[in-house]
Amino acid sequence: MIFPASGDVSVLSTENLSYEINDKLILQGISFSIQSGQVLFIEGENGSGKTTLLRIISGLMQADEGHINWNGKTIEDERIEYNQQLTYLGHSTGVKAELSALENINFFSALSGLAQKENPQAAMKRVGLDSYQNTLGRHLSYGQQRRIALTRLMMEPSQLWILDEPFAGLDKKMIHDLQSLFVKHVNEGGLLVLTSHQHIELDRVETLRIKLEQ
Amino acid sequence: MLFRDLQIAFRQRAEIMLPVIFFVVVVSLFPLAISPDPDVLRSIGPGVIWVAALLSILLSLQSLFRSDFNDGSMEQILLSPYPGSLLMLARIVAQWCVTGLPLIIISPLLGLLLHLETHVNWILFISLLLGVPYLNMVGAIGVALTIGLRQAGALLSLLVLPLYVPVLIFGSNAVISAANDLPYNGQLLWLAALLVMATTLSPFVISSALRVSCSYR
Repeated sequence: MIFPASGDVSVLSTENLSYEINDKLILQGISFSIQSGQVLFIEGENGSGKTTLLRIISGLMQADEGHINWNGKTIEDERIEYNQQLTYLGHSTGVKAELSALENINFFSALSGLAQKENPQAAMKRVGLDSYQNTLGRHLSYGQQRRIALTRLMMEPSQLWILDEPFAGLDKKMIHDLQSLFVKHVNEGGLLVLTSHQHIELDRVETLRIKLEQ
Repeated sequence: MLFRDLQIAFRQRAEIMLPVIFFVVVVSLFPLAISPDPDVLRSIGPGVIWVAALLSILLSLQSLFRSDFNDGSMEQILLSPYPGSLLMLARIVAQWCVTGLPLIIISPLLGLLLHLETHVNWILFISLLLGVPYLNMVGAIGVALTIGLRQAGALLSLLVLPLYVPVLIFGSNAVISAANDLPYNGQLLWLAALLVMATTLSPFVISSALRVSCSYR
């Protein structure tokens, strides 16, 4: 087990999540439960509320109704513990234009507050950016900025990954590498919640699917 | 966090110098526009410097949190296991270092320009030292509340200016009292009390306000 902080199997569950914007019901009665070793794949068309659901699960937004539980306790009660175990990657990469690639990565790891699994240089090498260490964020392409954000998955020892469109802007090889990384993470006892427009099948991994309707 | 913010600020020198340049330009235009007479300048000097300082801090607020909010690093900061209030305090200290501090350091020179006497100049320096961090912190609360809005500028001024008025009154009044050989300790103590209040409370308010702003994106 690579997650000594959590020890046993972890469970993420939601009860009856509902959310509305301008009187329009975006999410209604979303309930699920996943545990270590499982993947939750959220499907749906554009505007069906996938991103909203991920932001609610990560704690960035509050649901109008319903609860999110991490190991049996609501995430509001267990905020610090939950944030330690969480890596969230949204649409925006969080890469600062004024900092170099390496400085950006160092900042992410300082912010996560835990000892990292891998050193920044090795993580950069794995995403194919080892020759860009001192390049400023503003000189990197969108795909390269996404790769910088993805190094967090390799470095942070978090158990729960919440990823919004993780394959956007990446080439085929990187998508393949990322899928292997997902399988490894889940098989080592991690949890993965993701959305994607691409149909993905992760080998030998138990995958739950939720389809959001508009 | 503090180090990273200073590093970012240092890489956009032109942008961060703007409020300080604004401060110097506004103050140095007054002798040209009103009168070069030392007596006139001595009487308006404290007020002019305080108003210019207040406006240049207001100007610098516009960029605070903006890039963090747009590029998604604010989300990562809010999801960090560290207390949000502590991270926000670091953010404001960094902001103060690049906008407030240069302004405070340069103010005695501008005091000389406006013919303020040496001991009055000292009081001006101390009043700004106590008052400007308050302006930074209270301003940051306003920014945190309005960051999600498109046209936040006017609303920000409307929200923040009433909270700035007491500091402006105590600050400039302390300097005017010193110039007229009246006691000024009371005003300075008030400034110090407001600063203590802002330092202890504003980081919590800012981090909660940012949470709210982020959730209605």
